[in-house]
Amino acid sequence: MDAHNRDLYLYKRLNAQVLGVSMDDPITNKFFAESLAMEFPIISNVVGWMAKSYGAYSEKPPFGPDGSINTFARRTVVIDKKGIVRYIKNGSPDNKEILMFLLKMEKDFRGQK
Amino acid sequence: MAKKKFFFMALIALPVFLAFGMGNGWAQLKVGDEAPSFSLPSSQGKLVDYYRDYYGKHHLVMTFFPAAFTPT
Repeated sequence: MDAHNRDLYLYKRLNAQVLGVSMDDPITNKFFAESLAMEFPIISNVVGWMAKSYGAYSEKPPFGPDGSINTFARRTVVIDKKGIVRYIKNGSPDNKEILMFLLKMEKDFRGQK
Repeated sequence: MAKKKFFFMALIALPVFLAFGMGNGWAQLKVGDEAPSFSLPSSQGKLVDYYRDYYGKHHLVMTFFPAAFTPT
């Protein structure tokens, strides 16, 4: 998250915006964002359906008491401005890879016009 | 009478089946799919809606993380 915040000006240059997603409540996320001076929003999905719809869950524990998912797995998803998923990566985000990908994608978009 | 009972049981079982039986059939998100829409409260005190805020305007990098105050 810190790294995304650091590279935010580069994302902006490539017409991309960053969004964090977690299962905490908005108040917790607000304090988390303040603690890192984050400039991008973190959305909270307490029920956790985003885990299923974006595939951001792991098969390994910890699970909730009823065996449900209670935390997201780390995953980065890039959606282009036409609403198509372009990039999916599990694990910690690799900012250089994401930025290189965005650069290529933005070049393609500008080339189309 | 037995027929009526069966009918009611089916009436109850069908939604339960639809809710839980088909829940395992979630399609995995792949590159090239349309992104599932969402509208959720954010840390900046307002609702973030995909179609209102990002669609047609910006590319979006979404990063899922387990919990607040976890490093990286």
